[in-house]
Amino acid sequence: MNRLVRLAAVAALALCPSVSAQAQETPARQYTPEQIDRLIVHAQSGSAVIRPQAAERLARIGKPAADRLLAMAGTSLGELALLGPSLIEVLGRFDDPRFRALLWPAMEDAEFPWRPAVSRSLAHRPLPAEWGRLQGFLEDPIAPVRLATLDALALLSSDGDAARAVPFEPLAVARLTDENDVVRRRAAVLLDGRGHSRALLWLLEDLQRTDTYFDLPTGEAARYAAANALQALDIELAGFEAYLPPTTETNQAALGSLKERLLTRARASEAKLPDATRALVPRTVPAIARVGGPVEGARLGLLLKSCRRGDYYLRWTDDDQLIIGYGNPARVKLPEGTTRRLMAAADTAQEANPGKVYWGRPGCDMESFRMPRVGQPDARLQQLILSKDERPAPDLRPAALSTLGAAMAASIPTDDVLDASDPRTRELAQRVRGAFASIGGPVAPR
Amino acid sequence: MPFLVLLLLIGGVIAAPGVLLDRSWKVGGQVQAAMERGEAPSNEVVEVSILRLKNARYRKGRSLPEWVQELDGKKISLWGYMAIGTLEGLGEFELVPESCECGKSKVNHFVQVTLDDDVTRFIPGRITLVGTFSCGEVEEDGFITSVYRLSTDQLP
Repeated sequence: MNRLVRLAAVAALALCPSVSAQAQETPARQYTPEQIDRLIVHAQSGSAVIRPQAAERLARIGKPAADRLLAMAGTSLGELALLGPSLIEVLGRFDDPRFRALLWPAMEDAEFPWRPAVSRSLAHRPLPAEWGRLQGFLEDPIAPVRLATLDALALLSSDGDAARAVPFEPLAVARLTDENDVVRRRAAVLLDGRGHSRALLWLLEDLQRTDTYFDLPTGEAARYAAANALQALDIELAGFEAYLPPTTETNQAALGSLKERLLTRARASEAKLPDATRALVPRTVPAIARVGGPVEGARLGLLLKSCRRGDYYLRWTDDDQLIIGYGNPARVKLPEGTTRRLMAAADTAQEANPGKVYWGRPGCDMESFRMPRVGQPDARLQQLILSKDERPAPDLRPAALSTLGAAMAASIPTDDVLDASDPRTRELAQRVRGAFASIGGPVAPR
Repeated sequence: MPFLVLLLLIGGVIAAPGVLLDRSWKVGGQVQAAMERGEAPSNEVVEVSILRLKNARYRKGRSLPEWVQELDGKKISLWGYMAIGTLEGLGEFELVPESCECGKSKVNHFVQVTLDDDVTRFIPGRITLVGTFSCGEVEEDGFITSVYRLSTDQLP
């Protein structure tokens, strides 16, 4: 019955354009140039919560706003960057080829500061001719760029061009082993929409996660995200509650029912697929997407978030293991005494900057060092943070923290020791050094 | 038959906003259940996850889920991180589920914290605050500036 009502609702909205038109923003002609300029100021320099709202409003205004933004965007990447991420994110919604001509060089410039916003802008309404160009960004170091690219390709592949619809599926399947769980979940949902409902078992795995990165509840966040994604597909969660641990009696029962439900859905969808693509999604969830065991004895942490080089979650444990990532992280054995030596460098870094815990200015690039407090080995770990905005800050990091950062980078084993098939460990030392360099400046080479 | 189609269309138009935009999301119940069990009288502290608030169904202009509304005016305990752009010496700041929010926030992804007897200093790392919670849209100059708020005496 509910399905019938939904069907009627969809039909009604499709047949009555006036209904949805009423939900549109006030017609553009009611906005004066001054009002548009005021919205632009809000979108550039309002508070973090106002910027996206102002940009969204500009996007709904249409041509008058587009003309003004086009004049501001200029012709160089430097001028485009000055618009800021909120405005850049909506440029692709104006359906103006001149904006795409500005956005593409930014997408292809690894040093452009707002590439996640650029990628989402381009993904809003991608053009068929951009298929090949987009595909290369599925391996981008920045997860939000990979995510937006996946969305863009999905949109293009569903435009009725059968010749293109086929290659999208293997591309999405490859993202099921992405190092970022958000990208994996999106790939799973997109594959479900193309009849590969087995991919939803990736979300079932996320519902069972309890992992943390120190005090950051990464597993709980994954449970919410997976639950939301399944509910958006109208899949009843059988009473599963994301805020409760998956081990509770009610959640265990719910997970059992849900597994049956998803397997039934997978079998039904696969039965309709051609033989050639039926087994495209692996029968078992790969290790990178599975629930991980606990991480014991983590004493040091390095979290790098770079808008140019991607994110890195590293931990060093008492028993000299390097833990890479979260969820079911990669674990690499280090030479004995490595963590102890790094902890000595961490003590020195704290003693050189007594009481100071933050350097820099607000922005999306961040280095976070976690370490035991000097003289208080059993207290909660100390966290030292550097952050910066889009402007270069080569001398941001104090010398003692650079020494610690260099030691941390140097402790990462060489590529011949690491698993090259794991996206988290592939060329890890080089990538971590690159992320350091893009945030607080380079650390010493090995 | 045409009458049936017309009936379906009219029914669809009426049902559309509710069915398409406001599907009931199965969130909450813990607080309600605890209160029903008498475990959390209104003058005691209710522990709330900021992740749960972030994931509560929110749409501009529509009601928040019942379990969130029930927290309004109650004393709660809430963990989170100071938004990375928090300036020193102010009477309020944003509490977020992750320390880096990249210069933009969705309005339901943070709790606006007001300090009654203190001013801000940047604290890296997770903090837990106890204070009085309030919810509902606050609008300034046509923009929604907060949905969740917490009034607390001081920083930990």
